[in-house]
Amino acid sequence: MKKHCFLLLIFVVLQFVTLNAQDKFKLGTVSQDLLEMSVYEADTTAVAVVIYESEDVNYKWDVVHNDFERQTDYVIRIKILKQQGTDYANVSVSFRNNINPTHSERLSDLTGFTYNFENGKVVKTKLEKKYINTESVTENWSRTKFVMPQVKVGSVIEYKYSIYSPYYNNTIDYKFQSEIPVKHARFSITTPEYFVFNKETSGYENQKVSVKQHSLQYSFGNGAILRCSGEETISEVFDLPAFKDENFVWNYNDFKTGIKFELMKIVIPGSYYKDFSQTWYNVAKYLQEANNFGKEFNNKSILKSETELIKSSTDDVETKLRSVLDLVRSKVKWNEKVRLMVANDTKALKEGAGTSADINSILLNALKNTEFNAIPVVLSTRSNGRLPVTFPSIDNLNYFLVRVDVDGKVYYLDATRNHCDLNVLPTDCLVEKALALKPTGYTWEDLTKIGKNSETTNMSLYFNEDGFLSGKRKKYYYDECAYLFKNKVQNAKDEEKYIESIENNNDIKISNFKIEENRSSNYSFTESYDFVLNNVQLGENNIVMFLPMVFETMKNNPLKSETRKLPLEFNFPEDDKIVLSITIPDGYEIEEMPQSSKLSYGKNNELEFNYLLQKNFNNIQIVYRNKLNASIIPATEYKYVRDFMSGVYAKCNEMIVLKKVSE
Amino acid sequence: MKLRFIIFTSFMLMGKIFAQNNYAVALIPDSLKDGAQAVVREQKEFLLQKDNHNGVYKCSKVITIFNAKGLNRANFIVRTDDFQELKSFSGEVFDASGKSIKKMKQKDLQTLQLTASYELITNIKTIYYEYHSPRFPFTIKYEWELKLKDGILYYPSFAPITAFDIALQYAEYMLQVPDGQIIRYKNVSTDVQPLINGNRYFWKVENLKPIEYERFAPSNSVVPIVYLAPEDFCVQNACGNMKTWENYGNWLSKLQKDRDILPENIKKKVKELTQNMSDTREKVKILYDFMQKTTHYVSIQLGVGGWQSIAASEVARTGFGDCKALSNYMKALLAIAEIPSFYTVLIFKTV
Repeated sequence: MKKHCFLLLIFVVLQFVTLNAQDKFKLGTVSQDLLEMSVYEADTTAVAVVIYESEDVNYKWDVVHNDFERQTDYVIRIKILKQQGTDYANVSVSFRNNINPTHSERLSDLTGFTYNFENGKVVKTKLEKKYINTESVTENWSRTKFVMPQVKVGSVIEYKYSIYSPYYNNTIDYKFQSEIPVKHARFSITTPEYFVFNKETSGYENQKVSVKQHSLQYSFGNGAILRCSGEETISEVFDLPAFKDENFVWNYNDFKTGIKFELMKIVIPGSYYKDFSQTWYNVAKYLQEANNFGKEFNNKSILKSETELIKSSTDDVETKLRSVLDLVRSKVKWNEKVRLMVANDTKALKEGAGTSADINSILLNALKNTEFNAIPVVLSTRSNGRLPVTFPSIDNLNYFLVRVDVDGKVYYLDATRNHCDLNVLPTDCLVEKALALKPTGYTWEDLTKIGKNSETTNMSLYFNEDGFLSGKRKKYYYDECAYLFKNKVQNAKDEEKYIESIENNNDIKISNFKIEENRSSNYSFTESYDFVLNNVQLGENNIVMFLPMVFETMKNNPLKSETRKLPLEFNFPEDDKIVLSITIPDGYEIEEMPQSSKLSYGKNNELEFNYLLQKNFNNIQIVYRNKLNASIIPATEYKYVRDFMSGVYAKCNEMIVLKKVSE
Repeated sequence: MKLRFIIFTSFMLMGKIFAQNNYAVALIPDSLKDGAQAVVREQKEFLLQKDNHNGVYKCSKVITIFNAKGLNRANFIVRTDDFQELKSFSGEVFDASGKSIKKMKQKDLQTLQLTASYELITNIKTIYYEYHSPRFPFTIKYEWELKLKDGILYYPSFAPITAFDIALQYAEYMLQVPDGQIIRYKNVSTDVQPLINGNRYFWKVENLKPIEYERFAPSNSVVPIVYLAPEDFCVQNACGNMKTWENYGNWLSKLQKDRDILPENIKKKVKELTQNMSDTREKVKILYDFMQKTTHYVSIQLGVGGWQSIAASEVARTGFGDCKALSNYMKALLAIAEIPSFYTVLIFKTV
């Protein structure tokens, strides 16, 4: 209350002018040329193109609540070029809700038109109120949906609306780029001189950023007026290509062309100061002292009797750690909610279900009660996006897990998922920068390299009595590969469905299927089965051809595009090995087989490929190895990585040809 | 009347006598446990239809879950819309020994009311409760009541087993209808017949072993179900009779009456497009093409709008509609070109 009065007093002297951004887009008229345009020359595959988009942000004084309010005016004009483009007629705009509806975000002044060119004239149809509907999505989010009328191939649609927000210090994260190309887009923000912002741009396309000075004026309703100078920052883009879907990207939002504004502080010299900015040190300190975080991690009563038992059960560190992990997982199940702050771990334990934070808090306490040196590690998951480079903030963190240090060895643990283990975490948590909160301060830890992830396949191939190519296969999955493998089996609902999917994908029949879990040293699963290929058979033909690694062969080159602007972000470093022996059937000889080959890429051998084939009396021995030693490779290296992959792909797809021995 | 009451209460009593308040897992016969992910211990449904528009549905269901595969059978889920609302709910969880370990109230339920990307507005709500148990086996009990309003087109089916690998100990269904209402029922994979007394119908099944999953087996034709519906029905103010498909067809076609009138500009367009053509197939093709290119799919289905299409004139004006609206619009276009066509409804299910 005091704060508001204070603000009000100061602003009495200032003045506010609503700015009309120059060369503002004019709604309501569309040229015949645009309506008659049938392809977008810069990208002929585009189903629609954004002709113009703009977002203007201004700060106002909200007289009712005696505080600032942020107004965002949004305008867009889209040309529809193909039938799929008519999807842009269905629009959905999300905004924040509040328990107090009079003081939450609101969308207003929504209007829209569709333009068509019919019988030599421009026909304009208005968006009807009847086809505008607002619904609440969650407790915190609402959305307004509407359908533009008379939309068909060739139409131009345009609409505008304003969003008023009391959350004026929330981050503005505007993305210019979308799934369709953008001809021209413009973002502008006008801020009073007392607001200090942190600006950050993202993406690989050029933005034209300019700054203008203005004088502003705020009125407080009771005749009091405040004048000050202000700054308008404008960022514009022209002829932006569509954002392409690519393989090997953790989170697209990290790379879309956009601009971010974060309010750091409000400073009015000599009279008012409010700091929203933080340092990582402050964030760490805050978390360690917070009631629903650091203060939760000294609960001696959590799983007391069980941890006492584990303490005296064995001297082996890893066995103990696994016992605690299993104990926690047997007591609470994850309710699939991702949280940073702990809600109530005691209650979660009692009810048998909780959020990620509740569960890992129980884990952390249980580990401490087993006399381990356990600390929380906080992070922003891959799906939540990378932490910003320049702006430390607790808002960007969304997850925490546990680290244990024993005799110089480090273990990371997470009890939310069933298939995690020591240093085997949910893949979404394998980020480059995680903040380990040590009692003495904090350190940055790289979680992308903690596992020894590998897959080893042993396989023998032979032709069965009916002349079909058959085999026995045993595959070992270690660490993160084991985690993903087990998830895949689980997602298939049951084993039967999983087997069915392997059979269908590879055109084989499977028998003697078995999965075994092994946690003695590395975390691993063994999957074994016998198989018969449906489509490779000895017959009347003189020759029979097949891929040496049959269905284990890389089915396509995953790097299709010739160029790439984004770095390659692989799931995790991984070592794949296949050891294979092929028995040549009686009466056949080798007509042709691939030559051994070796490829590598990178200064530190980031990618290594080794393919060794050896012919013996009546069999062929093959050792295949494909090793990835990094998680992230910069886009500048793309060409080399692509060449490497193409080489591997081509080599693996060379066939073995067997021929009947002529008599 | 009195006799009916006695019989009715005796039905209820049968249930009551059976009603074990002890849900210990040890009480399940071994013959039912074999191959089961879950066992329906006891399910009792009661539907009271007051008139063609209103009714009450009450259900009490107890199910024991043996392993993680059966876990989603422990969830409570009910769909409410313009025709039914949830009046009350309670739930309780028991451990393997039958001891109560948790109670749930209506405020613990979550509600989802979200339109899909192709939908503009919906009154359909999904109300649910998910129980995440780390321990097996456990038993969960739900009791709830629905208010049926604004029309009853069909009754909830008697389908106590909902999937493969689930066994059943006991289930009953009591249906009471107003005087003169004739009911229609159809059995799938079961030969259970109702005990009938006046306006009351009573079904029960006991001790069903789990149906083992086989590849490509469609669960909806293997699991026992009794489909139930009234002969005379209403959907809001549109009432009809479903004794025959012809009756149902008449009801639907009455709903579509006068909804195929097109504005002059569209009529003119149809004539322009087809005037120099003699081949009917070509005419249909060009009109179909015109419809596809000038409209797109948006779902708006409220109340009777789930059965009655949006008028063709409205589709002409807005350029969008759902499957009924676009089909009806197409039919109207064909009519202008003097090509007879029929509004056809079907149901498709993906297995």
